[in-house]
This record gives sequence, structure tokens and C-alpha cells, in this order.
Amino acid sequence: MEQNLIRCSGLRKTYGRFAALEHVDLTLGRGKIVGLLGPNGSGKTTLIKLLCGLIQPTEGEILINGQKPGPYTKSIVSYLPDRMYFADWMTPRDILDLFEDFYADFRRDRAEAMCASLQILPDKRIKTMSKGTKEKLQLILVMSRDAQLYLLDEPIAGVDPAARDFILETILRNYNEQGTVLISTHLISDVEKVLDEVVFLCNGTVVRQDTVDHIRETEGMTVDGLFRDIFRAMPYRREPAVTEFPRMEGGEQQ
Amino acid sequence: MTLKLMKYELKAMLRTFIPLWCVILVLSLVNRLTLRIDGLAELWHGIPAGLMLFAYAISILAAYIIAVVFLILRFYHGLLRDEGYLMFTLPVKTWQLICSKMFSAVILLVGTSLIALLSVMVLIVDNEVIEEIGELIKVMATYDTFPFRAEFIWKILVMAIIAAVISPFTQILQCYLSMAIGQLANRSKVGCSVLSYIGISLTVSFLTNIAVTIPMVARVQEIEDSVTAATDFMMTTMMSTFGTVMIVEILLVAAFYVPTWWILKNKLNLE
Repeated sequence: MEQNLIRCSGLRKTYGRFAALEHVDLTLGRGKIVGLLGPNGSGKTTLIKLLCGLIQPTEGEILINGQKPGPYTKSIVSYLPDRMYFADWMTPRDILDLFEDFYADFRRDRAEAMCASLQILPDKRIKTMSKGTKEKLQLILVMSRDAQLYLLDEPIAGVDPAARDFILETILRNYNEQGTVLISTHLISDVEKVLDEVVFLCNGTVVRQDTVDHIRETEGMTVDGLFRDIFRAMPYRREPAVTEFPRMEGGEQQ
Repeated sequence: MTLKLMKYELKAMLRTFIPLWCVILVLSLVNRLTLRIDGLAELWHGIPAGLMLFAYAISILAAYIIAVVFLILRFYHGLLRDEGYLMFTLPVKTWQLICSKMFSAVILLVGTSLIALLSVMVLIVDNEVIEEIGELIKVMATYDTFPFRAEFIWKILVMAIIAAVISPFTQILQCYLSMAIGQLANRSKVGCSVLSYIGISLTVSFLTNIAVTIPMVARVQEIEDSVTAATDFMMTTMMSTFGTVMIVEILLVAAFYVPTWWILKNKLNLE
């Protein structure tokens, strides 16, 4: 077993001329909850998709438990995307069957118990469920695996505060403690309390990687405060209004 | 793993197609009754009978069109859109994903063809037709006037069957390759897929025509001034044409499959 669970070296990803990630060197260990933090468009989703093998790096290398993304890494990574990936025709029972068929670390009893607690009926078409219920079902599937790496892309974006608590509690209660959880978000104040370590991404580059405790000690502020400090943008200020109009010949105002 | 993937693929497909297949069979049965029960075909100037026959023909046509649309959508939505986020994070190899889609699509097309054939049999087969088919087989079996040409016919038949079996795979894989190329674009993926399909079709058609025509033209000089020589020429030309088509179909399977696999393995672009 590799000491580092994730190792990215010289990672670069471009879309046409736009560089979504640039020279990313990142190493993450085991047994931690890590926040992948950055404003919108900083490259968080791109990095997670690269780790999942859903897109390919333009340059550089990614190793998960010493292996390049492929069937082996997919068997130890549990991924929560920022969208719904269910097929229209599926029911919760179908998707549970699928997870059980393909993931050796899937705990069906745990998933069924969580579905029952949320009154998610096993034979109801997923298509007919509300967006919130679908999101919860997807989270249940992901957290019912005893994975070595959980990649959670914006799990709390766009949900109400009560749902945020449910999501964070589900993650904390169910993740494999030997594994690592990587949560991408820009809603830092909500997740800060559960994080051990943070990685700040800015314009596709890692600008800081540190433990939460060390940040509090050295900076004397919360991670949320530091985030606001780093990413504070100057608001656009309108030019002062023109109060005097040039006068045309003959004294008429234009 | 491929079989497990196929299980879900077929489940997605058959839940739409089994009812459709049942409709075709029911309509063929209704038409059989309409055509055979005295006076029913002429009822109300034959309008209901005509409509039923029309509905039957449309249902077969619709089943084929839906099957083609379905196999394209199952690949596009299943692998290259949101569902791809699930399928490409399953611990399976890329070739298993492609093969599961391909074999399921072939099963769908073959199943639709078998149902269409069965429905035609339901519609027309009776004792008289069975007797006529029996007579035809007898005549064919005793037709030994040109025994040396019967050999040609068998060879041509075998090659045609092989080409017909491979043909659905090439058609399906051509669609898959077009979509795999289309997904490389950062925008207008569907448009790029359609353009790729047209480009591939034109290239394949050009190359196939060359491959079929050149041997034929080369052999025109062999014709002697006799009927037997001309007939032989026709037979051997047909054989070489079918042979070329069969080889081209086999080469196309590889030519479409390998780049599709390579692109999805190394250049997957799920943005």
C-alpha cells in the first residue's frame, strides 16, 4: 500500500487555449477529510474529474494508490459528481443492484437502511423523484461504499441549510475512516468544522495546502476568513457620474 | 463484467422494445384474421382492413427506426453525457463498455428482424404456402443442369450470410466512432458527430467502390465470345464482389472499433 493516496505531479489540463489547471503538484495522505477550496472556475471540478479518469490530463501524471486512473483506481474511488448520473428508467432497486454488481466495497444493507430512513421507495422511478431526493439517493450510494478515496464534487452547493447538515452528517457517519474524503466547495464556513486539511486552488494552481489547525495557529483566523482574504476581489466601481454636459455653441445643452 | 453491463443495457432497451414487438405480432395476427375471414376485408369498403394493414407496416418500420435511434441514444446518453459519469467510474475496462453497448444493440436489431419475420409468417403462412415452399426446395435440390455453378451459388450464399452477420456490427460501430470523434469537440458535439458520420460514410463508400470495381474491370478482358464464358464471368464476378464486400465488412469492424476504443480510453472528454 502506497503511503500517499493521491500524487499529482506537473499536472496541466487545457481546454483549447484555456488552461483549467496549471503545474499542479499535490500529495494527499490517508485517513483525512480534505477541503478542495476555491472560487467558481478555479479548477476544482477539473481536478476531481482527472482523478476519476473522466477527462485526461494534457500534461503530467496522476497516481492514486500508486496507480494511474483505470479500473483498479475506480474500484477504490467513490465519486459524487456535481450532476445526476441516473438513467431515466432506473429505480433505487436497479441502481443498488448495479452498485452491488460492480463495487466489491458496496454495503447494500447500509444503503437500504439509509433509503428507508428517508422514505425512498425501492421501486419508485428515480425520474419521478424531486431533485433533492435524487441528490440524497446519489449521496447514499456514494457513502455506502467502504472506499479508500471519496471524491465529493460540490456536495452542498444549491441546497438549503437543513439539507447541508444532513449531507455533512451522512458523510461523517459513513465514510471509511482508513480512507480520505476530498470535498470540493466554495461554501467554506459550512464544511470548515469537519475538515482536517485544505487545498486552495486559484486560477488552476494550488496556492496553499495546509492543515486547518496550522492555519488557525499561524494566521489567527478561520479557513473561511483566510479564503476571503486570498480570494477577495475588488468590486467594480462605476465612474463618477458626469454632472456637467459640454455646452454646444449657442448655449444649448446636449 | 461485459455480461453484467449487458444485463443493464438490455434491461434499458427491452423495457421499450418488448411492448413494441408485441404490438407488431398482435397487428399481424389481426391482419391475418381480417384477410382470411370472409367478408371482413370488404367491410365498409375495406377501410378498416386497409388501416390495419397500414398500421402493421408502420409498426415494423417504426420498430426499425426506433431501434436505430435507440442504439445511438444509448451510446450517446449512456457514455458521453451525464450517465457517462456513472459508467466511466465503474471499475470496468473501456472495451467492456463499448462491447456491452454493441452486443446489446445487435441483439436489439436482430430481435426486431426476427419479430418482423415471425409477424410476416403469422400473416401469410398457411398449408398452401408451406406446400409451395416445399415444392420450391424440391426443384432447387434437383436442379443439376449446371452443377459447377451450384458450387458458385453456395459460396456466394455463404459469403453473403457472413457479410450480413457482420454488417450490423459495422453500422453500429460507425455510429459509435462518429460520436467518439464528436465528443472530442469542446462545443457542438452533436454537430461534430454528424459531420464525422458523413465524412466516414463518404470515405468508406469511395474505398469500397474502388475495392469492388478494380478486380471487376481487370477481369473484363477474360470474357470470351461465348455464352458459357459470359455466365462464368458473371458468376465469378459476383463471387469476387461478395468476397470483397465480406472482407471490407470485416476490415471496417476493426477500422471503426479500434479508434472508438482508443478515443474513449485516452481522450475521453466528459466536460
